[in-house]
Amino acid sequence: MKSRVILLLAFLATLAATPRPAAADEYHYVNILVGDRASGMAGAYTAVSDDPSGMFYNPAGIAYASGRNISASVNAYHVTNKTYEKVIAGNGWKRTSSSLLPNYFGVIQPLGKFKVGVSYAVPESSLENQDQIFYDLPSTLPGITVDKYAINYNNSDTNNLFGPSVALEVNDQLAVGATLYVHKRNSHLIFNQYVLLSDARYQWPSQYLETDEWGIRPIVGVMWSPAERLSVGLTAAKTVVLTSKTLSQNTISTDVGGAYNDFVRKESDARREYPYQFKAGAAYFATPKLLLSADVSYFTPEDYTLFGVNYEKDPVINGALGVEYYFSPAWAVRAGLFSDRSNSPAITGREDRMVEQIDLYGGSLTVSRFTRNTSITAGGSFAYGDGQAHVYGGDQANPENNIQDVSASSWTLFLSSSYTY
Amino acid sequence: MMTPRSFPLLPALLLSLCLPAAVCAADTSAAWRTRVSALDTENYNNADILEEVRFGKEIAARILGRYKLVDDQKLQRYVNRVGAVVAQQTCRSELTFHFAVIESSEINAYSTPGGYIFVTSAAVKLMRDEAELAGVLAHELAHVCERHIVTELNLRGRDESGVSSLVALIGGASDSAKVAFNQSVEKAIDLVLRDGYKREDEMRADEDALLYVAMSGYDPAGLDSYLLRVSTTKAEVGKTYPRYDTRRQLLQKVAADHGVVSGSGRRDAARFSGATQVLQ
Repeated sequence: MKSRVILLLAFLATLAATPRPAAADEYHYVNILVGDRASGMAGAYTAVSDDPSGMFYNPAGIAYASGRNISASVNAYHVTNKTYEKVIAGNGWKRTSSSLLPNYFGVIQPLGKFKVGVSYAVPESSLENQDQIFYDLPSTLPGITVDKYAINYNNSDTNNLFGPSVALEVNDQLAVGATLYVHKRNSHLIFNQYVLLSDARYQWPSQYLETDEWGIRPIVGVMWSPAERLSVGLTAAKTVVLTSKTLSQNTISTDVGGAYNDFVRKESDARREYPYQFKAGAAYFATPKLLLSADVSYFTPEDYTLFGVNYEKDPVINGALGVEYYFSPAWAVRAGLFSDRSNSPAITGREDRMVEQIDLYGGSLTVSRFTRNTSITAGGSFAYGDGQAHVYGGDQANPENNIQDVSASSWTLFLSSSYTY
Repeated sequence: MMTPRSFPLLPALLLSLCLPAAVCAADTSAAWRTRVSALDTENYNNADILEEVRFGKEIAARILGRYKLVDDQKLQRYVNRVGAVVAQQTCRSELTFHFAVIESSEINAYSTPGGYIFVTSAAVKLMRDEAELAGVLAHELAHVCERHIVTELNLRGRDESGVSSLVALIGGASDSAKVAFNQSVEKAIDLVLRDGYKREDEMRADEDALLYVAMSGYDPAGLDSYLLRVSTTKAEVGKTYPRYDTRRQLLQKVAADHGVVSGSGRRDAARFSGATQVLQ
């Protein structure tokens, strides 16, 4: 198939027939903010974590959870829009993703000297779609234009985490904790392209990629109070894939250069390698009304190969700032700023697969209403960024012509509740 | 085949775990983590009282499932009358107190939130007069008045507001609350029957009991004389109680501080003997 694909690459998207692992957003690590309180504080929660959300951010923090039994759940509606500028003959590409789901639930309670809990988190979920048709495009064939070029792109990916947590308050200043999540990821990519030339010839490549992963994600954490009202948190985490099945299926039908049909199916048990994640956070509990927090996270670089294609990711440092303020015992507002930088290396235009590099920056804002033992929170987050991508073009002599400007925005609406009893 | 690059994880983790060793000895407490929405813990409303009574009933039912009531109406009525007299001096006028004698060879008495007081037949057998009975009942009443179990388990009434209903709808909390209630009952049973109250709670209950008894017109030395007799037996008693001599010293100090005179007030030994005849 590859020899026929080379002919197509001049006016079809790069990687028309080269598989890549689908990912909710393989270029970023902050997909959907998780947790009732944490989502309002832009995820700057490593040094706070004293409620069920703590099992996801820093399990050591649940040692300081107030109340005997707490449950919290969050529902989120998440939308992402990406616009690739001037991809083909001045025409841009647009991809949108949306998902509506309960993205966090957690319960904690004391057990002897320990606090134990269980939580369910969906930190990544997307259903990305592109549905566009372009008309009257130039082609590389002399005297021939492209009457119609249709793209149908559907990429769904969800990452589920579920598992227990335990924390121990070693003394007034120190707590330790751990979470052991079961990691379950399912992704499906369908990428269908149809080209109709002005002389009625056609090309029709289609790609299907499916990945099913099982693994574990241990998180270990420490919470330390070096001074009154000051908390410092440290965590380390890594997703370890235990089993993975990837199915790649590529079909092509064309009569350019003579009738040709092909079907290639590949399977692989190769396991994706996730980066190590280290987080450090500090929080200042200024008064019972005011809380300030800050987080820094570091993701290690990775590179791996799947179906002969190399995937390289740079190390990433992200930061977040959060604030919580109570107007009264019944009302509180939370806000924050965060970065969600890309793990892609700089785009050169020589890549052998679709890549993009967009650094996102955003903020969050939520309002909470409290009663004696319940709270309800509503709010949202928004992020925006622009960068570069290589989603189309195979000009090896002038690779800079293969680079497109891209902008992305995402927003999430939260509705969450917590209950103490 | 995927081949990751290596990363110096171990040094980073060791560094992060060594940081706590550099802690300066700040006298800190996680109490400063409490947000203002959770600070209002001292006020109890009607919903809290109803929940306390509901909870106490459940524990009382479990106790009665383990122990039989002494089958003597005269004895049970007598203990309730004495208890009611002492209960009038407590701060919990909103509660209806219930007293019962249960069959047990263990010298002990129990109280549950909401006002359910139990005293064992072995304990009653060891008493000599009504003042001693009043002292023991007063001690248990004090646990209820001070909300020792309520505080330990953070028992709170359910909020029936619209906000809470919406929370239950979003979070599915109603089933979780049922599970938590049952778990709290089990924890309370352990507190009452096995682990016992905290030492400081026992001491506080003795303090309050002395004053309740004195205000009820009984000889405030009743509890002291009972403790002295218990300390000389070899029968098994509650394991978390402070030492008897410590308790007796505390009672004497409280009596002196409040000007309570031992020997004043009634003992009613004859009435006690007549009412508890079935146990002799």
